Amino acid sequence: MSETSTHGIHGDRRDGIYVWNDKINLAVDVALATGRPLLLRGATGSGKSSLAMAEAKKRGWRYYEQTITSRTQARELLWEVDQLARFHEARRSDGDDPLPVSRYVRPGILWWAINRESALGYATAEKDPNFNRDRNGKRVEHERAVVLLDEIDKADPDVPNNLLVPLGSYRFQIDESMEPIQLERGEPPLIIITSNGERELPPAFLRRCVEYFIEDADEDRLLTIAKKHFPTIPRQQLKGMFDAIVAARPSDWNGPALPSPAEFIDCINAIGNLTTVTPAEIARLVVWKSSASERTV
Amino acid sequence: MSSFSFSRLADYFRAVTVLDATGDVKKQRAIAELLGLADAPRVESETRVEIDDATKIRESEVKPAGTPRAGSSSPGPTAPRHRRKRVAFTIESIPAGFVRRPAWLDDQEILEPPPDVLPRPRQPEPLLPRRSSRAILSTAMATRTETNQLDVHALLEGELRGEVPQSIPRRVVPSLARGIQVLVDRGPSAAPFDADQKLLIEQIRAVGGREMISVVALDPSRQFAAAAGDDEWSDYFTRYRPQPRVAVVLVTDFGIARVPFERTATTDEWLRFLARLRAGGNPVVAFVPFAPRRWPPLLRRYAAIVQWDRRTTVHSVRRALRRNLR
Repeated sequence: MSETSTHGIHGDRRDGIYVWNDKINLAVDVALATGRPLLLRGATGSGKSSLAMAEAKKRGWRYYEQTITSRTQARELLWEVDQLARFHEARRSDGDDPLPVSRYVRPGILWWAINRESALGYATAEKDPNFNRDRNGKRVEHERAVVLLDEIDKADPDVPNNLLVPLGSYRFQIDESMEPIQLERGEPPLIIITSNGERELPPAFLRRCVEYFIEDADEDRLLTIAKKHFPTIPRQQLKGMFDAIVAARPSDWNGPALPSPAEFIDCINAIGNLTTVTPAEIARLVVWKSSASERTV
Repeated sequence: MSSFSFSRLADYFRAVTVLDATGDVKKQRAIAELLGLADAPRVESETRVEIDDATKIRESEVKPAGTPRAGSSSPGPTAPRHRRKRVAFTIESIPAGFVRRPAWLDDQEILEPPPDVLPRPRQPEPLLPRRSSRAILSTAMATRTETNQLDVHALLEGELRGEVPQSIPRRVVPSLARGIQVLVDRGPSAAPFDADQKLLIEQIRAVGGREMISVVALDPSRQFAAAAGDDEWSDYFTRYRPQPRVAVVLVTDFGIARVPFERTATTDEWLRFLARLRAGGNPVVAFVPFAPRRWPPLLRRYAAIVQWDRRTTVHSVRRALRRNLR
């Protein structure tokens, strides 16, 4: 099993630290080879969302992300029109100068990812929501991009269906200006979509995705992940923390038997920072919570 | 091979070629799984696959793996045939949630039937058509919700009338974002639909999202007493009334199926119940497993009623919603 990692700030999904394995690498490779979005499922904290930034860091590609909510509309991922600004400016103007709607078109993250050049025709480079920065804090510039659409299952059922064409052909049309937007130089972005299984996704949407289920991490993988995040802590010490966390599991616990990678990392952070609190107490607050005993995947 | 879509099959061959997996059966299987292909053809190392684009494939020597097609109903020639004895009635056929379940039943020890007569649990077919149930339910449950987008038409209308806007009009779209309360009729007349109710609740959860759906049992025969989970039965409006504008999905027969010696709520009682819900700002859509000619006509004033049946379509749901002016 090949493993690589990069280093960054602890506890942030944008830190780029990730422990890949052969299965995850294959899933990403198949998504890239076929040009399909990669739909990731798995338990909360299993590393679905953090894979996207880690891939962007590894490849040196631009990185865009949007957390989907129940109010997210498909169109805002493509573009929006700032009608309010247009309205205000129209009221302020003397009426001689018509205000073209195209002046108020704002590119969404999929537009930036699919064709940055045309997005720059509607927004300045400072508005580019690319989060991937190099060591000097400068935005990474690459023709290709990674896009994270986080928690797609939170969206209304229509949203995935309305994304079928943009995600399937990397092409859409701005309604207001009738301008077609399509892929730049034929290289599609890597689109990573996560789902917590909150609601079923439409079959037509699923057919267009490469699907991968991130399995729960076992002890060895948890320790490997922790070691990547805390390289100065000896593995034996991490193992001691792991044992203390597992030993604190209530006898009537009916959830997953081990903490998720995110929970384990949070526990190690807390154990290191809160010297007066025992690992068992931290574990009960972070991992073995009654509300989490029926975590869905 | 006809069960595959050509674009997916093309993507499979593309991935196998690009990722150098010709001849590596394990990797081919992993790629097929990622693409949702249950039994993709094996690509031998000497196989030549030419891919023009995503929809055109030319292959010179592709041999199917020979495994039965996924979803095939006919078992293979060597598959053993199991004949199981049918049991006409079991004690478990009285649903635990029903209020008329006899009290003495809880004290009885339920014996496991011997394995050779154990009936295979039969999964009933959902009452809504499988292919369109998702669209039917999302249409029925959606309520009009404001988005972040400006409603240009409303703004323009005001401007044309010379009005100064008092608030910013937002575009309104049908959405499930407000959440849904599912009220399940557990009265005696709805008892025959217990399994169908369970299936419908699962379908609603799958479409609406588990966290957005609350399920409350309702017994119209007892002054519309309600209970959620293991709670005691209590007054619905005191304890379970949803927030204004949360849609209520009512799964009921409106007492159409009369049960001898059992009290059922009258149409007047239903009218009062629905009117109170509507007055609280909750749109109601009722799924009723009987033909429209049997519905109490007055109830349509306060609820959009949808026939819970395999012939139900999105169009008929929209018509019911329009009639009810949600």
